Amino acid sequence: MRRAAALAAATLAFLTAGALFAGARAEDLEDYLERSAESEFSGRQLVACRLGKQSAADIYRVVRSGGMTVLHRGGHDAMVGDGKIGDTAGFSSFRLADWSAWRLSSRYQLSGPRHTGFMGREVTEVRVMEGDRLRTRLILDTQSWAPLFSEVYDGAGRVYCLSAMLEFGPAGSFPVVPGPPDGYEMIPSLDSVALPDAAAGYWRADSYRAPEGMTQSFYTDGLFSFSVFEASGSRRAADLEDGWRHQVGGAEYLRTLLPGEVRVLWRADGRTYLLVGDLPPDHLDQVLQELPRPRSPSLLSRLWQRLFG
Amino acid sequence: MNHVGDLLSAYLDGELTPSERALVVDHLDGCSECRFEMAGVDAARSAIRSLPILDSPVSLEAFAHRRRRRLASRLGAMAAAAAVVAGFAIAGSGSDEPAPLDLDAVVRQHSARASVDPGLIPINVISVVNEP
Repeated sequence: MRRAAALAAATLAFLTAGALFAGARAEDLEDYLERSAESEFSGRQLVACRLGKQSAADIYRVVRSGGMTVLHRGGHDAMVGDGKIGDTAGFSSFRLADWSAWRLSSRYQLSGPRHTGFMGREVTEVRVMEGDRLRTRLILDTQSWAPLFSEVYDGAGRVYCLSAMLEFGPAGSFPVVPGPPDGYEMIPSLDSVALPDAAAGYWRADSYRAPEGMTQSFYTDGLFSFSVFEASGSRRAADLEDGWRHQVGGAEYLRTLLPGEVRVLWRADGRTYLLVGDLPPDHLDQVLQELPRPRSPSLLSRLWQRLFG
Repeated sequence: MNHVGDLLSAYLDGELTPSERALVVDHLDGCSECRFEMAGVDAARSAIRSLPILDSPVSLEAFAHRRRRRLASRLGAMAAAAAVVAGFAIAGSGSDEPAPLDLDAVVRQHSARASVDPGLIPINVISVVNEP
């Protein structure tokens, strides 16, 4: 009897320790992501993505300080953070009225971390697993927690996107930070939209009124995110009409790939949808199948397409 | 091949529209049968012109009127058929002249929201300076 009680106590202690260990690891992943997001630095960053036969790459100057990220590319500065956005290209500046608290999906687990060297600095390598699949690899500067290198993998284990810091230093060493805009237009949130509450492991965190007579539904799983913009009637985005035709489950979408971002346009049930986000391609296909789907192209449409492109 | 026999007489009379004339000329260029027919029509018309002018009987005027109406109705049917096919094609492609969408204005709002969460920042906010 005493032996049985001791065995039960040992089993309970083992299970408790295991649960605590697993919990600590999950919290660690959230901690790493939050520390990285709060880090301050400046640098020059390469971002490159590949999706099928399409690829996109570019180099940006980045400064992150005081919760804001400033990006510079081709004479254009943009400042974003804390739900605000402003830039030097003449776009209106606005801020979101409110948003939901962040949380990380339980489908991601931390593997590692591993301490090593990179760019002559001490770094921490963090591997994010989705089940038994490596989804993301992050190399964080151990001193500042700045993301020096990252890779996102697709469902087949190939690199979908990578970012690499080509130059790195403390925040403020690049004189590219524009002054904050004089005023921000407030974007109110919406209580209800017609889109589903969740799609392929992503949940709809917030919805907002959006420009161009659209509504925005923001979905996230804590690691990746996308917005679905929706408008009644048929809308045309010239940049996407010339894009790639993306087939999912017999339905056809228009798609374009940019560094760190995919955009997908389609029409269904008399409405136009635009998805913008950084989610990996296998997630994208799963998500599209759980959102309103475009009708299959008609015989005449396919014929027209074949004849005239 | 659709021959242009019905149009030849009107072509010789200069009664066709520019597009119909172009259609006939293009067809004659590659169709010896119609060229032969037109030569016959032209010869017949020359022969007729050489005859003394007489008052035409009413029945012939009615015949000519019916012929013109038939020609007009055939052209109308062809135009209607073309319109129907074009209509189906446009409806099939689902594009009834959609309104333009300013992507930059829309996409920036995604960046603003994405910037709030940790995620993979700054990768997920670079769309603010991306240009498609």
